[in-house]
Amino acid sequence: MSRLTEEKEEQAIRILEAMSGVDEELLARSERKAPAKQSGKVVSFWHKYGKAMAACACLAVLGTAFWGIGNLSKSSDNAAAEPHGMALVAQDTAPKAETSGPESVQEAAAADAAEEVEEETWSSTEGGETAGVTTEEDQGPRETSGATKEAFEDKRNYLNYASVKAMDRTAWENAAGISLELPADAQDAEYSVLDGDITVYQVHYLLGADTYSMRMTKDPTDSDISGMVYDWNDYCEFIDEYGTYYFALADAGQGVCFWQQGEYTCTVAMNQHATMQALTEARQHFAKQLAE
Amino acid sequence: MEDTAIIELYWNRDERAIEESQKSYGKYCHTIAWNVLYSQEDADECVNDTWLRAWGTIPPTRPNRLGIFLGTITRNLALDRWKGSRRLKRGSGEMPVVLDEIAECVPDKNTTEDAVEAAELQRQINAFLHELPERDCNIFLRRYWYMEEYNEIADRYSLNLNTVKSSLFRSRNKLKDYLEKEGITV
Repeated sequence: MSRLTEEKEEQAIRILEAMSGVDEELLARSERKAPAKQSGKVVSFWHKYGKAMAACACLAVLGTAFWGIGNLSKSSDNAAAEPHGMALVAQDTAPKAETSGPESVQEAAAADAAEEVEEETWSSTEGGETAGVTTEEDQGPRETSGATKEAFEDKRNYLNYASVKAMDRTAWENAAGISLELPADAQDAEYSVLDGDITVYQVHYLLGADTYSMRMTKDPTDSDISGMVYDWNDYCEFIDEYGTYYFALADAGQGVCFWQQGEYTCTVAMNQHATMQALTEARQHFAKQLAE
Repeated sequence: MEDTAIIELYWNRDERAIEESQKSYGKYCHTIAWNVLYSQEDADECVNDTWLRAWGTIPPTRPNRLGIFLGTITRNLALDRWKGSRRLKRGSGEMPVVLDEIAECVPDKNTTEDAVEAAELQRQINAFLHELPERDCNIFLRRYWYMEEYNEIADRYSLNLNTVKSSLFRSRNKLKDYLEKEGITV
């Protein structure tokens, strides 16, 4: 359902009407099928063969891991590597896999392979899409010319959590030291605190048909604490009145937005149906409160 | 029949012009009308009105691209019809969603002082579209000129759905920036 005021709607209609005068050449061009490939955009080797190469790389690394198993030193136990029952939490510990025993070594090797593959996939994404527009201070989000691939590489963070403690909103807010309103239509909120390498305050909620996961920490870590480890294919950096924030979106519908604001590092993540629009709205909702 | 031949029929006041227009561009125009009106009956009427309008316009006009010329007429008629009916009820289909999205491009009032003519807005939007990368421009037009659904656009250009949404998100922000910088109020 539309949520426009009548005035905004009139303005939107005027823009649509003004578009009736769009150059015929542009309209004719848009008629062509799949023009993206005709516009000079390079389909990289990795983009085309990345998955096959990734599978080969996984097998190769696994084989190496088996071969050299006797030479690998035993790692210390890490109780926090156990799954916590929440999808996003479980992903935090998977890539680290610093557990003992042959099975764990395989997992570690697989995780390393997966990370390598992911890095390759990153490098295959279309960097041109993040080309800058403007960084001027103004109202509303602006895409910046930030080197977002590198930014994401630098900020990717795998964390271990020894415990996940579910709590009610009041206790959560007391622990986090901030009162945080969820979006007006949010439902089924689940508050928890993750303790481990750092302390993370987490809330899952349902908005419409989509599940959001908001995380924040006061510990000094200017990194992505979402626990989302996916094959991102679109990433960018935006700036608005609350500062710089980053997006990463995966083809399968996952997405994460993260930012640093004052003493807080925050993320908003979606496991499906993620769009920049949805994540921006969530980010602005929380950033506004953190700024107050 | 070739476009030039159809245009000649119009110029010669030959009623087969309408029949041939229907054959060549009936479906195209109907899709445009349907995307706006989401009603079979209204879309049909819109398309019929398109031939009538074209009959009254050619001559003296001699379109460069007949399909787009007719499509533009259909789109304008459909928008007019939609505006007429929207006070009774907000339409279903893509129109309300498209309006929500395009409203994001409306510059904040306090950033500009004077309203400008619709022609100026049209000129600026054209200039903006010429500045967009080809792919983004195409996606923008499919969405806001043809009112196509995201998945139709994704299919047309063999793109992922999220890529289409991201492109539109960026283009809307850019258009808002552009209009603000040009001092355009809507």
